[in-house]
Amino acid sequence: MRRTILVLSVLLALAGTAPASAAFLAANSPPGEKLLDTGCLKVFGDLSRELPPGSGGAWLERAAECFVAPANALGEANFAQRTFSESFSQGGKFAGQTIDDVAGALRSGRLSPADVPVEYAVRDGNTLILNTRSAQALERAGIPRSQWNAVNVTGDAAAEARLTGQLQRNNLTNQGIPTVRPSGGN
Amino acid sequence: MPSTDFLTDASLCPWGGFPTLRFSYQHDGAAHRGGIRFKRVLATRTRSERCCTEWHIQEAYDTLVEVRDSSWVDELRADIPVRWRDEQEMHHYMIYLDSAGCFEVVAASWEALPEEAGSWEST
Repeated sequence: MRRTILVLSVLLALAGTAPASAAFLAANSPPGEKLLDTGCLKVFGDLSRELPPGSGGAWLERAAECFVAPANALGEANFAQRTFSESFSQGGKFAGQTIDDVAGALRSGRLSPADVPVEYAVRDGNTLILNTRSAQALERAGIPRSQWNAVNVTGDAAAEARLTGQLQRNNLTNQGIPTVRPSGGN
Repeated sequence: MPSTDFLTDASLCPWGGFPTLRFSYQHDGAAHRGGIRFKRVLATRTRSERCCTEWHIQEAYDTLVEVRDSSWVDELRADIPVRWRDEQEMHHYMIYLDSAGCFEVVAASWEALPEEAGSWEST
């Protein structure tokens, strides 16, 4: 199936800046120009891509099968985002739980480090963590990185795309950042 | 404001009579909220993060895009009775938000909600 994507605008720069609406953006921003006052970027163009048949689905399984993490792979790993939410995502293994919930379960033994996988990718020689909240739970539980269940997803197309998005939107290079803070913290 | 900064997962739900993608974030030390409102919505679908392929993420990360030559739109149009088939424009919009996943909406148009103080969770 072939799809063409027309990029309308980078929307989330709206936050905290613009008295913006779609109409405002559409009417006032030439294609490809940065709106200095609003922080919004509007880009137009055809970006044709093929979506291979059956390409959706189980990339986590594929990643787990294809890569074996070396011991202490995350020892010097950095993060790909600056902040994190205290609640785990609704679609994940720990949906409905907070980082402290999972950290508490790790401390009590109800969960083991093997139950809290931490995905990472290596880019330009830098090891970057994709599961920031899982990493925070393990850190809060006092579990050393050498005992973490590290899962190498380097080369997985979806994981790499997400990593690129995180780095770019957080204005980070491929080096990432060694520390993160909770969203809303100053 | 990257979606990694959101206080909670973004969600697509009714607001003011329109399906609205809502998100909350901290700004200048206080909670604020924003969103994208879709008008004349014919269909929606959501994929959680782990179900998203590169196609759902690349170019659409924190960015509202329109899928052209969409097979989903074709499918919907074929199911609409002929008398209504060309009544409104049908655009296939898509955006990927970190942690929440990929949101897709077939609608006539969209608009960004202005920033407001407070969070959606308090409403």
